Amino acid sequence: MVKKAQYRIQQMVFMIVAVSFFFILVGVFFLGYQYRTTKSSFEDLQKEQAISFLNVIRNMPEFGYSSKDSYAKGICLDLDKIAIVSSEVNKFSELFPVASIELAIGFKPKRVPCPGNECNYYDVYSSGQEGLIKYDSFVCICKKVSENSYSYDKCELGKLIIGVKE
Amino acid sequence: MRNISKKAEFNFELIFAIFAGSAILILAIYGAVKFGGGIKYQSDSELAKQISIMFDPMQAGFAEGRSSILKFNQETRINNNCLKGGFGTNEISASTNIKGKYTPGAATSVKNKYIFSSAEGGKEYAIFSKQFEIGFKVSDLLLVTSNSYCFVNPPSDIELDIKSFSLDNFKVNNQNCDNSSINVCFQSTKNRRNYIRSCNITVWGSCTNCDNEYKYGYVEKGSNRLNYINNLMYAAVVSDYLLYNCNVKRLLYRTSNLASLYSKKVELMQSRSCFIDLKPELDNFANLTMIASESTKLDSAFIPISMLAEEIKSKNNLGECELW
Repeated sequence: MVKKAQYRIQQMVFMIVAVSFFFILVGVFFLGYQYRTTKSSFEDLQKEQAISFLNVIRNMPEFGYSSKDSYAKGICLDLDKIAIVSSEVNKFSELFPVASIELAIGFKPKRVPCPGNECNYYDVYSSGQEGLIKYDSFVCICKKVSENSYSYDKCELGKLIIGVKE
Repeated sequence: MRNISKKAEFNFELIFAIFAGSAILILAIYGAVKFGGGIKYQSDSELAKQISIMFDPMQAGFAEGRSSILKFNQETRINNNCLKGGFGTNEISASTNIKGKYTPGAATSVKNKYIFSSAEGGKEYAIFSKQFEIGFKVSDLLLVTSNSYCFVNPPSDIELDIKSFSLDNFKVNNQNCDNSSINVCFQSTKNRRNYIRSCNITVWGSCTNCDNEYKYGYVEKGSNRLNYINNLMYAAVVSDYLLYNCNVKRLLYRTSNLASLYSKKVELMQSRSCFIDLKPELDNFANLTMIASESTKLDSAFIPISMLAEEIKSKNNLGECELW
């Protein structure tokens, strides 16, 4: 009789362990699924933010060309401001919700970093993170120039490259 | 003897099954509740991030302002916490209402936006943006509210502004204003007006030598006085006192940094014979706004700032090579 009772207790313990194990497995699978969903929605949101920032940056007074009555106002980037911000990036870096900002002026295959002679590339901001996904957009870059007492907007085409953490 | 042992056997099994069963049930219920809370926390956190991204296209840019409606399926509270220090930050979190309780999800830090709101919940939020200009454009003010406002006898330019928002919860001069709406009255320091409707908020204009006396002044909300300049008036109407002061200091800090940036731009432009004589004024402006951003009270700071901003703006407009 005692043996039979022991056998039944063993049976129950085995069942409880099996049921618990089953729930743990289901839980692990579900957590894995949730983790993947959260990760992918985080990546989607990061991507959305980067693409959105490509437009926002033109309206940021730290970058945007805002010369009054200019056709370039609100559309183009200000080359002087970019030169200043990239030289004092620690001062402004708090404002950037992305991991890197680069600006290539013109379409020459060789990038010559600015400041420097005939430079065509600004590494405006880099958070130092690795494995970034980069998004780019064509932009116009302008500066105010004066010739023979006549000032005008000198603009050229370039590429703005934004990096977000993968 | 046989009967006794059988009884004992039955009781032990039953007790064991009851204990094990209830332990599994309790664990399952606890797990489900925790898991449900976790899912809610996750979705509220995602919602906060989505809201912060949604604010991007809401920024006015070079337009005067923009407005829109944000609708939720269930009662949601947008919590907005402001932290000072450097450019500062707005920490946005969302909490959906479950059985009358609002438990917020993880907050999203927004450093390059200035979000003014008050802590109320709702299914529908009005969002509108206005430029903040003080000599030059500094940023956009993003105003978020689920309250209804009734503006009583506003000056004509403010009336036009409010009408241009085309928002149902911003009404002018008793135009379908319901009893639950917050009445915003406009008072002049020169001559007091009498209102039939009771005022919940009063805007006092104190710019005596200006075209529009509401260019700067203060907004009275209960016992609090919120000093404003230009479009900050709307932010003062919509926002909580502490949030308003914190965001204004963040804005002044950014103004100071932008003034320094423009001062350096003067040097760069001069190096290619594009002259504008604004450097001393911009350096002074940078100092003045930095001091104001660090001061505890904003009471009298806006008047000298506003005057210098006007001087800088008109000098820039007259210059051969303008800075902005």
